[in-house]
Amino acid sequence: MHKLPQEEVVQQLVNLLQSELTHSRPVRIPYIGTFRIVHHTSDIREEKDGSLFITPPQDELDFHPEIELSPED
Amino acid sequence: MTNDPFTHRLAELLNAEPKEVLAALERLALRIRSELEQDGIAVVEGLGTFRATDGGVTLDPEPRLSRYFNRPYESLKPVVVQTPAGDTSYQKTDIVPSHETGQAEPGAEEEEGAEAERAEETEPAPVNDVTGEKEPEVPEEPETPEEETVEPEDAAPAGPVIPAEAETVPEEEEAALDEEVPDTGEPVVQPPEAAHTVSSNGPPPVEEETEPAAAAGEPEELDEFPPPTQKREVPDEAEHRRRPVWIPLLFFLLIGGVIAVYVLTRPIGGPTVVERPAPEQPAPADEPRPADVDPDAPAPVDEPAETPAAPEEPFDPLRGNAIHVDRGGYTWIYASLPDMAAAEEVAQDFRRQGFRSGVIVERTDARTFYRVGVGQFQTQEEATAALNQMPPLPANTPGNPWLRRINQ
Repeated sequence: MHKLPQEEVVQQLVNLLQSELTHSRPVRIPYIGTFRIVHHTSDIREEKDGSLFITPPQDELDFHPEIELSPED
Repeated sequence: MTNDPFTHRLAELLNAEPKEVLAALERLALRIRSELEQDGIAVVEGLGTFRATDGGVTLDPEPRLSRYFNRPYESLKPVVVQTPAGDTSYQKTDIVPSHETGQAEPGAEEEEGAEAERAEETEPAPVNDVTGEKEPEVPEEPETPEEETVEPEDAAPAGPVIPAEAETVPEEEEAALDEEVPDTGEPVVQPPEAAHTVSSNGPPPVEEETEPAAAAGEPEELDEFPPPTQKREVPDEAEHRRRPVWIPLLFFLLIGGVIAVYVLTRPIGGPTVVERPAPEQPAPADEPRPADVDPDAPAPVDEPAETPAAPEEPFDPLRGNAIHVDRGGYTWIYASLPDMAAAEEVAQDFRRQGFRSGVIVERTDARTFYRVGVGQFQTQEEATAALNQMPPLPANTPGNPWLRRINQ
């Protein structure tokens, strides 16, 4: 079993991640974590001065890690 | 774990065994963890930056990756809609002193700043459009830049109730005119005053009637005005009380204007009617009966009745048929779809409900999106004011509508 170059693994990992997440499916990468797309809706907020602040909708990459850090001594 | 579908697909892409891929992923995870424990941060090129936080591990995706997943909305940016409340009061209070002194510079700098802030709101000038349609007489004036500036003033106040508003704009413009055209002399200075007095007080004094003659009459209409001796020469007392500083200046300008009109009208010497556009306008509207005009005597009466009907069609920003891209303005985006047919179907559904709706095509770097807009408003304020009249979102559409400029 030969050792795969890490750069190549990461590159293909990102390509596959993009492909899978485009279909709105969460993707779990073993040992690392789960990725999914979260949609934030647009929002209309009234500021203190009476003006309206309208934020656009947005699709954001969300990550839930499987990597666990050892507790600090 | 080798049965994991992602691992299998990654193995296919890498031409490797799933076990090898799993081992590579485990090594990657170990590397990330060790860097996080040592430095609190681990950068994986192409993926992003992992950070150690109190709550565990977070990931800041690379901007390129974030943009990729946010493609449908990547061109959208936050919008701040200012309240239009303070606009009118500001104009009323500040501009009178600058007019009296005849210098707009000291106060005008602040006013210009405020105007610049209001520029986005006023630039689309929905009021001008509307008034322009309602008042066909105004377009005769645009001969000089001064007269062009006078037009919106006459249209905007639409009544003698608020004289301050009518006064404010000409003052600013006068200041600008003084800078632009310093040596035009008396007749050039008069027109703005004449315009503002006409707009503020309907009937008053002689200046109104004589000055516009000087203003508009330089090239063409000089012969059209009657001799100044027939005009009323009683000045408006109300104006004297309000602005006593104006008395000598008004008299001076009045005399100059009368002389200018008198001198200019003399050589040409043909008193004619100023405007008779009414009988000329119906000409294009003769479509229904081009041949029957001669025998019917009342025909000219019918024609002017037809002409005003066409241009006065009001534009309802919310109710109507399609969105006219040429008209510009703002619309509420209700859906953003990658398929034109699907977007048009949604727009048609809104139109069936009576709402003005259309599809706005937007091309990003990678793809084309078809955004379904509802309503067509001249300003952001008008759009937000209509929010409570907007239709509900379709059942399968999350979130709120999004305000967007139609011509971006």
